[in-house]
Amino acid sequence: MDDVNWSELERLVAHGQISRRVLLRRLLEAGGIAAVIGPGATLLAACGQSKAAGPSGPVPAGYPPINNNILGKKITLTILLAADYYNQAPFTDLYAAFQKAYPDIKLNVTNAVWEDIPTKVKTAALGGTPVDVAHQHAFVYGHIGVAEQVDDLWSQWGKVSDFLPNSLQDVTWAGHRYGIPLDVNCLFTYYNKDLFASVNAMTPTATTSYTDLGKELLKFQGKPVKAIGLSNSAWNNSGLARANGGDLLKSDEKGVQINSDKVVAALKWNSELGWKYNVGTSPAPTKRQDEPGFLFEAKQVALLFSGPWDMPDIKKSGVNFGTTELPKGLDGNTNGSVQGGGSLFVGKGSKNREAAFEFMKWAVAKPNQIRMAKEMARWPVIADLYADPASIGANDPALTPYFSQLKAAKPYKLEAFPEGDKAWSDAVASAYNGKDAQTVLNEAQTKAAAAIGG
Amino acid sequence: MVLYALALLALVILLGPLVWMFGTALKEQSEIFTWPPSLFPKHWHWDNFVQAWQGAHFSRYFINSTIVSLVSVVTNVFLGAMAGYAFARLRFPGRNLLFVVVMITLMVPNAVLIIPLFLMMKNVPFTDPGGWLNTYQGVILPTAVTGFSIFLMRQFLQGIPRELDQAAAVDGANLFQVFWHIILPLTKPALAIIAVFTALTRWNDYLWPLVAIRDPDLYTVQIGLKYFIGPYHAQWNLLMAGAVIAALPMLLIYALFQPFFEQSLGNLGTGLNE
Amino acid sequence: MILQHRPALPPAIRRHAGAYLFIGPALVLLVVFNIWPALYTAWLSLQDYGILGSNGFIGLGNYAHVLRDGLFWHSLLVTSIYTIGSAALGLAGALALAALVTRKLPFMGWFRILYFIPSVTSLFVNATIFGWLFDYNLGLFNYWLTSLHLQRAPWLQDPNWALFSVIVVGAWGGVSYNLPIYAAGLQSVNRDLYEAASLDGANGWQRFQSITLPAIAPITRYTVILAIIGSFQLIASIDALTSGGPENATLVTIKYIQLQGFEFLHFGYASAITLFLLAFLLVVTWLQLRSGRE
Repeated sequence: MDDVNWSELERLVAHGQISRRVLLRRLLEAGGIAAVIGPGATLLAACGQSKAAGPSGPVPAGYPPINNNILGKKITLTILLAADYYNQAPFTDLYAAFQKAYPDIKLNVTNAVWEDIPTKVKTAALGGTPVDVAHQHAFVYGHIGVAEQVDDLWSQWGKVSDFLPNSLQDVTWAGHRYGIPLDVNCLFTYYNKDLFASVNAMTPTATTSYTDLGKELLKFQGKPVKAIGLSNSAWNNSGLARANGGDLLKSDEKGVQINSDKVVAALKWNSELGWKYNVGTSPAPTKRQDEPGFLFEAKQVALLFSGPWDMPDIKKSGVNFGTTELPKGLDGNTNGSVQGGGSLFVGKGSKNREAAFEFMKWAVAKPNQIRMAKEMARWPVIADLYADPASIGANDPALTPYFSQLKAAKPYKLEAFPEGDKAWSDAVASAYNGKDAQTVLNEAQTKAAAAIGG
Repeated sequence: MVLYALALLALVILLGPLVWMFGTALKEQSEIFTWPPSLFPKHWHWDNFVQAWQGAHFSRYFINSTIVSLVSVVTNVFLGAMAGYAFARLRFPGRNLLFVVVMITLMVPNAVLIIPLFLMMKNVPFTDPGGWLNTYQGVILPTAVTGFSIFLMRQFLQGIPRELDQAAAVDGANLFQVFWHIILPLTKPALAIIAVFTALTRWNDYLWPLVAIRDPDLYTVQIGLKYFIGPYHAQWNLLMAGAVIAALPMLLIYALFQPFFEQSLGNLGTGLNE
Repeated sequence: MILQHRPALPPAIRRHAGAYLFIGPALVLLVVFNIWPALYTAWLSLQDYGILGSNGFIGLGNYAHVLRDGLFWHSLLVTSIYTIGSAALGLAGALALAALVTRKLPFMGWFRILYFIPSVTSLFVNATIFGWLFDYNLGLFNYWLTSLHLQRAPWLQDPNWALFSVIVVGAWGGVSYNLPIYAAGLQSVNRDLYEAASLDGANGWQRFQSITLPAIAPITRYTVILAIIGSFQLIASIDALTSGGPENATLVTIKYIQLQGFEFLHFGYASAITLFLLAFLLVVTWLQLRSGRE
């Protein structure tokens, strides 16, 4: 019974924030029948009563000041977040704190697995009941037309320069902003020091080129372990293309250049490691993109291009690993990677645009960002948090190359063009299957350009 | 002897993958994908099942899935049986045409009806905004009756001599009495099949519940199961543990109804000779 | 009868009222939740309908486009190959296994119960399991191959292998699912017929051909129709195993519909493809029913 936060429950009930069903569940979870019959009974009774508009609660330090435009308005915000974190401590505390500050705003937090969120957003949009806040890549939905433009709210807020410049790319399309970035990550390089040593190969550094790395990886030919765990994911390979200076979209974002020379060269180098030189493991089909990570942890491959999400398991596996940035292109002169993470956006047609934006501001407030980093390993979008890595729990030297690579990482914007995304994805899969990179990319360019233009 | 060997081979083929599922459910994250691969881990982590139960909110979701499946079973069995009986036994204008309509509904894939159904549920008149989305009835109604139930019942009844129910009608029994007192008991086996297959299909439904439900409190077991698939990697061991848990109720249902199967379909065989 | 208190209704309706009441609720539900949405889909197919709504009527424009769409025809081919492959293997396997379990041997009853278990788990789960068993680098099947000093097989990587692997998964499920039906069918065949045939000198295979097969022909027709319908609608396994790849080798039409609709957001076009699929399925089913009547 001690875990029942009575004052918190009382406040939520008094303000009508909590439904009887939810209250019942919480009491049962916390204290069982005793909680329900005992002190909980009065709470349950109080639940049905209407409430008057209350004054706002205090705003915790570091969060945006009260927005008087939405204070006092009875609003219900529908928020769609990913299933793997929506109920983790930083967020549940965020909901409570937000509702305390705005007692008349009810947060209706729903969740879905990341890959199902697009379906839910799209059906909601089609059905005329858009979500108020959702977590995906805002630019995609801005392009399709189901995200609200929020340039005006950004201007009022004035905090653009607080953000990592590339993180803002995740919410920008055709010059307009459609949301607020939430977290970032990017592709970088992991390598197994022991395995490299066993074949007398030099481990990659921040300045290694694809060409030089290739020479070292060839030393694994004929060995029982493979040099690299290959991935044929569209996202990964867009990063590997960027490392060579190759961009899938034209700079005006109106057309595609899937078969540009730099992209072709990068795909060729990566895919031939597998079928031509036989030093890479065969990429797994789409649903098992985490396999290269498993292979690295099982010491079956010596090199892995992946993101920070694999680090905890790699550490646990006991591999003697090192990290560095992605190779600097074929000739060592280009620096790039692909940025992941995501952003929060407001569904188009939402009636609570400003309140939704306010909630999003709270989600990226420094205290929340710090907690996301420390407790959930989701890396911040606020630039100056990186000045002191220890403050975000990032004092592991293995993360340093990752933070440095972040600066040159840009989002996979081809995702906004689904036909282009599929054409690129199919071409990548074919290339890893043994087809010539130039040929398949030419085909992809034709298909994509036909559907999109340019 | 050879027959037993064959039977065992079939057992290995059919159950092997499920044994793998169970073995994976017991593994630690790091033991899941090793080379060489193993069926079972060194230490059996039974707490994976506890973690799966909690992480996927199964306590709540089991209730939802049960309600949805149970109601669907009841409606399918009764409404399907009534319709099947009418199609099999009664002559009425439009009978053949309406049966063709029933068969057509079998062929329309549910996956493509998601959007029209969503719009329909949202726009149900006289309901608060949101219509019947996010409600039990919204999830259940689209499959409250399926062509399968009607089709099966009709086929089955064609194997039962008409004399039985005609005799009752001569005695003055009305349609409903004949149905209730004679047809239903006779067709218990077909009803059992309808019950089991309906329960199975509804329990394992994913797409419509995902789209129709917004409130996580109403989510079903299959939606909960996907909880372990994250954006960057999946917790395969917990996913498999969850899958085992999710399958248990259906195993129970099957075990309960299985004896009926063996009696019943005997008639189904001759019944299909039309 | 229920209507005995209303003599005013014409006799025809009075006579059939009971029947209509009996089929009424079921038919209403089916029409409302199945036929009506299908008609709505047909209506969508006549428009250029995107995520922001309709961009106007284009009549049969979508249909003309479908006819010219190479990927659509390819997907029909894939669907057909998949259907024939998994239905043939699945049903034949179920029949063979049914012949086994219906013998009066001890423990066969237990086997029979166990064989149904794969049907109890969801298709998504089963396909996920096979996805890992088929895995090129770490899967159990390739492990067995390497233990026998053979090459690893590209079960899901190579376009030709991938369709085969998907068919195997479908057949595997089909054997388990159809077993109870065939088993019951075999049990219902009159034993005397077999004895008479033996006396006439027929051997096992001949008895099977001339007695068993004809006797269960109706069941076979039933399971074949349901297997075809089911295969045409299969998307869960494809999604879990290959997502339609590699190189669209496993892109069944229903997956293509989902791609055009939910990914590319061409809802009108996807609806047109749906109607083509439905028409195709109707023709196939009708042919199947007709062949049975001869």
